Amino acid sequence: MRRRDSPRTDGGARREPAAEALERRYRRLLAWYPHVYRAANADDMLGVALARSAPGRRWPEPGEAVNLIVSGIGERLGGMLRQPDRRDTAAVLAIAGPLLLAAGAIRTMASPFLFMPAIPALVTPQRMLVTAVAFAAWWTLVALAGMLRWRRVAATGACLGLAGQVFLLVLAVSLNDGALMVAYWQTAVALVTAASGLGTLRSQGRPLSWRAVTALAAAAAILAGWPAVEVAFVRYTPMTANSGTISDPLSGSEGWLGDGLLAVALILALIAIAALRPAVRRRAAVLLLPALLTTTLACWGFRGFVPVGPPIGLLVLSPVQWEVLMLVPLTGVVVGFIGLRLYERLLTRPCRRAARLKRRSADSPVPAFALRGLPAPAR
Amino acid sequence: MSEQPLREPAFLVLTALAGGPMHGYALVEDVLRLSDGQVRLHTGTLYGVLDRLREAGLIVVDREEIVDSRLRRYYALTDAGIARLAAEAERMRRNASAATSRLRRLRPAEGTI
Repeated sequence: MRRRDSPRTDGGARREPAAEALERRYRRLLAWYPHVYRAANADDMLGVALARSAPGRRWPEPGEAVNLIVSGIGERLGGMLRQPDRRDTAAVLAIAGPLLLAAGAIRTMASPFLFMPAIPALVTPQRMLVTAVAFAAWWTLVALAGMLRWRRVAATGACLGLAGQVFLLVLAVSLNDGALMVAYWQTAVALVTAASGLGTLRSQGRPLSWRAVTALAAAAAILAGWPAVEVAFVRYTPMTANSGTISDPLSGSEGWLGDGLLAVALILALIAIAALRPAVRRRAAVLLLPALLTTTLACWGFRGFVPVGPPIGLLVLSPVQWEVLMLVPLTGVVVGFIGLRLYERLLTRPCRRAARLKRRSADSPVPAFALRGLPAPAR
Repeated sequence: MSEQPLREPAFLVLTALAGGPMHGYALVEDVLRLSDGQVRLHTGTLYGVLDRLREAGLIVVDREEIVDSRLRRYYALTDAGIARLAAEAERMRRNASAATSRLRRLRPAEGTI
C-alpha cells in the first residue's frame, strides 16, 4: 500500500508542496471556529500553527488538530452565549429546568400508586421511591445553587444530574417500560439544563427574581402534586386482573380537575415569564413551546391511540407516534426561534433604517432629510 | 470574593509578556523555555488564553505587522496585567514558602524514625 505522504511515481498531477498542503489542512481545521472569530484571528493563528510544525510536514500534528477542533467548538458554543439576552435566557433555564425535573421526580413518587401492577419486578416501588426522592432533592439543590449564583456548583450538579437521567433513560429502554415516556423528556430537559449551567459559568447576573422563581416553584409543585390529586378525587377505569388498574385522568367526571390544575400551573409559569425583561421573556416563551406541545400531544393528541392498561411502554406508542412526539417539540422550537428572529428584526427595523440613512448621509452630499423624503427643516 | 488564581498557561503567558511585547509563536517558544520544556502551548489553547486575558484587560494588542504576507500580531501587558502578575507571583511565592517551611519541619522528624 502506498503511503499517503510518499511522492507520486505515476506521472500524475504535480504533487502539492508540503507547506501548501499543511497550510490548506490547517485552514480546514480553523473552519471549526466561528466566521467572525476566523476573520479576526485566522491569519495570526495560522502563522503560529505553521511555525509550530516541523519542516516538511504535510499533515497537522494529531494533538494540534484535536486542540483546534475542540477550541473551535468551544468558541462556537461560548459565542452563542456571549450575547446578554441569550446568556440571561440560559441562566433562567439553569434554574427553571431543575425545578421542572424536581417536579417530574416527585410525580414519579405517585406513579407506583397509579400503575402498581405495571411495575416490572426489577423496579420495586420502594426502589422507585428512593430514586425519585434522590432526584427530586438533587434537582431542587441545583435550582437553589442557580438562584444563589453558585455557578460552578449548579453546573456540576446539573452535569451529574444529567448523567443520572441518562442512566434512567437507558434503564427504561432496556426494561421497555412506561418510565420511557417520562425519561425521554427528562433527559432532554437535563441536557438543556446542563448546557445552560455550563454556558453561564462566567455570568454574574440573576435574571429571575425570587418572586418569579416562587411562581415557577408553585407551578412545578402543582405538576408534581397532580397525581396525588387524581388518586384522591379522579375516578378510575377498572380493568381486568391481567392488565391491572390504570387511571385515565381525563375520562372521569372530575377530569376538569386535572385540566384546571394544569391551567393554574401554566398561568403561574406565564407570570414568572412575564417578570423577565422583554428580550429574555421572548426567548423563554419560545422555549416553553416544546413543553406545551409535548403535554398537549401526550394528554390529548395520543389519547385516542393509547391502549388503556399495562404494560405501558414502547408498545403503547407506535413508531410513527414516537416520531411525532420527538419531532413536534423540536419543530416547535425551530419555528419559534425563526419567528422570534423575524419579530426582532421587525423591532429593530427603524434603528437599522436610521443607521443606514446616517451612513448614506455621511457618504453623500445630499442631506438626511432629503434622503428620507422629508421637507427641509425650517431655519 | 477575591480573584481566582491564574491557570498555569495564563500565568506563563503573562510572565513571557513581562519581557516585552511578543507575537503568538514567540509566546509559544518563550513559555516552553520558561517552563523548562514542560508546557508547549497548542495554538487553540494559546488563543483561548490570549482572548481571556484581553477580555480581562490584562493584555492588549501592541501592534500588527505583515511578515511574509502574513499578519503577525504583537501582544503587550497592560498596567492591570502587570499588577495581576505581581499579585499572582506573590501568592505563589507565599505558597511555595509555606510548603518549604513545612517540609523543613517534616524532614528532621523523618530522620528520628
